Amino acid sequence: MSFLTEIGLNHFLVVSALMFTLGMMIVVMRRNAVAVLMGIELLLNSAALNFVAFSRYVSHDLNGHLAAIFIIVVAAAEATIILAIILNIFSHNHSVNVDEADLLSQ
Amino acid sequence: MTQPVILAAIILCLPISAFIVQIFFGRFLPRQGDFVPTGAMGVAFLLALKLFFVDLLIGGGLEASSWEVEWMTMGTPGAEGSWFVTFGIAVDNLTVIMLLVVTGVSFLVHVYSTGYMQGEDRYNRFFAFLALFSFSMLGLILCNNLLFMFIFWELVGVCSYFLIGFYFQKDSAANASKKAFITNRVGDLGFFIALMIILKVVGSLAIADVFESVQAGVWTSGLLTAAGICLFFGPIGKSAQFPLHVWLPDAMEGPTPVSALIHAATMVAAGVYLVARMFPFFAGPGFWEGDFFHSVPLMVVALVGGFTALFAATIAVAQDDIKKVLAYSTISQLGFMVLAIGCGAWTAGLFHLFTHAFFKALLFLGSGSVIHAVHTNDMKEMGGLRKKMPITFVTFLIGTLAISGFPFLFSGFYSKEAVLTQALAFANYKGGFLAYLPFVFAALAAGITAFYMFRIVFMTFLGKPRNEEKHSHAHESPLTMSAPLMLLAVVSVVSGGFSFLMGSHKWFEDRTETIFEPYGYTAASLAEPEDPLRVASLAPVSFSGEHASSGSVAADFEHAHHAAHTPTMIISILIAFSGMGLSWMFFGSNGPFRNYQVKGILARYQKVLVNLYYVDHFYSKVFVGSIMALRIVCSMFDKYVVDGIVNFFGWLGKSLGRVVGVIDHQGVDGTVRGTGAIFLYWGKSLRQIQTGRLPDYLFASVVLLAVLFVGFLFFL
Amino acid sequence: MSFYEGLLFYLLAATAVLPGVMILFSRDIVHAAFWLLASLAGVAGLYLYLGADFLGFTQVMIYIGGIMILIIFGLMVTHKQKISLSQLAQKRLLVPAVITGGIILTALLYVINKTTWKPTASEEMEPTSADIGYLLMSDYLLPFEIASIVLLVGLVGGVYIARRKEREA
Repeated sequence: MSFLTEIGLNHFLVVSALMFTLGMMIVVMRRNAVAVLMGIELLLNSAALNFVAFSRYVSHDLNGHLAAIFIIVVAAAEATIILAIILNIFSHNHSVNVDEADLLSQ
Repeated sequence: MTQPVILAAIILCLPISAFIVQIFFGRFLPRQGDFVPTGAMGVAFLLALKLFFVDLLIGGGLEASSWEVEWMTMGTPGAEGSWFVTFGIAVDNLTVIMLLVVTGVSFLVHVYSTGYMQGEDRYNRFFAFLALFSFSMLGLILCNNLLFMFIFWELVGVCSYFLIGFYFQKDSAANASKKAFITNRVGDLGFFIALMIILKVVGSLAIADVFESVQAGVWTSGLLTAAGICLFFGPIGKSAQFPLHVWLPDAMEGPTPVSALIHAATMVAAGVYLVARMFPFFAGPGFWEGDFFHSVPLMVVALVGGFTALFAATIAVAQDDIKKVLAYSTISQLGFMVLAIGCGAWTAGLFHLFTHAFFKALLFLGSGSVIHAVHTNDMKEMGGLRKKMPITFVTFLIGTLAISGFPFLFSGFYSKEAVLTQALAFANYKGGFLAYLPFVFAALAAGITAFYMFRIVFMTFLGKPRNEEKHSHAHESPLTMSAPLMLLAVVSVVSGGFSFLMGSHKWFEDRTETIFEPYGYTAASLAEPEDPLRVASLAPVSFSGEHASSGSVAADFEHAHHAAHTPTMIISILIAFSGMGLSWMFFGSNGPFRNYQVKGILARYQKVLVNLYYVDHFYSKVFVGSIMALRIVCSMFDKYVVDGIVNFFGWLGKSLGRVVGVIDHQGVDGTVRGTGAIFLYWGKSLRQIQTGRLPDYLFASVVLLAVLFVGFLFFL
Repeated sequence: MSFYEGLLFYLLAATAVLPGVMILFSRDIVHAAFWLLASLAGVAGLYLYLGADFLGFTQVMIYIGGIMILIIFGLMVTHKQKISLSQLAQKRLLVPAVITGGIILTALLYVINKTTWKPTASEEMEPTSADIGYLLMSDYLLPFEIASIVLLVGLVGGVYIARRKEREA
């Protein structure tokens, strides 16, 4: 049972894969736009976790850390824009459910 | 940097700073900022006065000193043929004298302009250009490198162009500025060729290096002569010598203060300054033994100057426009200066430059004051203004007496007499018909000068008013205009009186004949004969018949010079008085010939004079006309050849277009419509996939991700 | 590798992953936001576990700040306190989504298992902040500047989009 106690790269990759899948499910399935945003945050975090894990176990340098930092930056900017869009949709539809935002089909 | 160099650098920086402030911020300042350049020039004038009186007059002359900085290297550094461009400031006695002239006249003209230009459009820009001109002129004087001299030379030309064309809404002013600029380019081309020859032979454009090379015998005599004559083309253009004099009278279209500053006192003197500054170059290697009699360029200089002096003076007699008379008078006086230098007396030429700057500025400002009062340039409409404008009359009269060479009291007498003495001594010493020409020209021109200058005085200020209406409106000018007049009048008298006390222009000569000492020329050593054989071979002819038996060329010439002194003084006094007297006879209100009508051959000659010897006519026929003819040829070529080709291709294109049109209409349009229909059909079909709902798109992207993932796993 | 370190990892991993499930099914959007907070804190813990001290604290500071704003928006925007489970998800996509998610997870795990990553022996953990700062100002200067511009553009764009349009209102 050494793979249970010897924490290595694969453990982190599995955690990351689980988070990724969960985030994707949230994005696809939830109706609430804010919840969709949360799912996206999970996706981004799983990717960042991968970078840091590789940085720790494979390359032994800080490049992965910097990638994670830039992911955080992009996530912050993206959250701003998405929230602004959600606010606009809400003021237009009086609802934040994504399946009701179907202006594109008209 | 020595103290004079620092002061000179400050003087140089003042007007350019004033220009920058004035051109950008002038119109936001009170009084449109006219006090900025005026104040800067005032400070510069004070500094120049300090240099002049403390260091030059009382201190007995300055040590030549300079400061320079290497600006850039041309060519590969250190390689064969590379040379440094250095910018340097050099201060010696000549520089200080020129500084005083430029800053002094410039300052007074600034003050005068605050009155004369009051209320004009672009008042602020006028002052900006005046300041830029002052900077350029000071730079031209101060720099010790021919390249920079050329740059500043062009800068003053540009300023002159701007200022002549100041009233550019007038066609005549715009044309005059163009004429001045283009005529000057002709001369500057020669200047530039000379610079290139010098650069090729010497490898440097620093004045000191040029002199050194001349003394060391680097030059072949033919090349030196060619370079000297080419270099003299610059002064011919800038100082308005025959045959490039035509621009200066037209330049009077500019405002009168500009005429006074640029086209009388300073810029046109730049050419004279250049010839004086480069005198050893013109004189050739013999200069260091005091021999300038065998130099072809100097002979050319002397003849051109002398001819211009007489030529312009005769034209001035027949002009009725007061500023035109003064303009031709300026050309004539510039001819005097050039002639003096050509005869080997750079001291006399510069002395005349110095005195002329003041009294000619005075005359121009005085004429400006008159024009300001009666609103016309035509002397036929003036007359009897003496009572109306007493200050202007007195100062103008002083200027007239000075330029006419009224003996002993006025500065012009001393400088003109110095020029004549030199010309006579030169002629006596060198001998031959050509050598006597400059003296004859100069003496005649001096007499005519007195004649036409008093003509102005009689026609403008004395006698009865010819135009009552204009006369009744005339009034004395404001203090800002009359104060500079009075100051300049005082200077014109004082520098004469000063010379009277010193016996002659010796105070000036002592300080300017040493300006080439840094380059190995010493006036004192010339008294010693160095090579008797060489001296003998020159075979000088003394004017009094005594053959010089001992001494060097310079010492012998010094002897001839002394001998020529007394005769010329008598001649010049006689000539001046006869000129004035003749003027009174013809134009005085009770002169015996006041009602004389010109007729016969004289009338024909007058017609030639009024038409300016047809020089302008000739230029406009030959040069402008040939360009116009070329223009017609070009336009024919354009119309028939170029247009023909273009039209042919146009016709070709049109026919092709018709063919293509048919193909387009039938074939291409069908294809396009067919394609459109196909895509329309597909669009309609595929539209149903697009639900327009966000989750569907998100899900589609996730499915794509899954497909890619699995695809990569199994197929790669 | 001691037992406790292994236990610590599992605790942190559970903190990171399990809240994802809770977000997926929570009926109250405010609760979902708090679960997301927990998940991100777990990720921060994993960062610290990996020796990425700077990154861990950055995660805590930025994401917790961001999540607080998310909560506020969640409260502001949604009036309904709770929704029924039937309203939670989009029924139409439920089955396809679960199948696709399963496929992706399987594929990921398969890849992780199959690949040999050649991990080398781990080194001593050292503080990273100074080196990250140095890298940001040297090798990563251009991305750093671009990131700042991205943030600025995001800020301006967010303000512009969210601004109340006077005419239409």
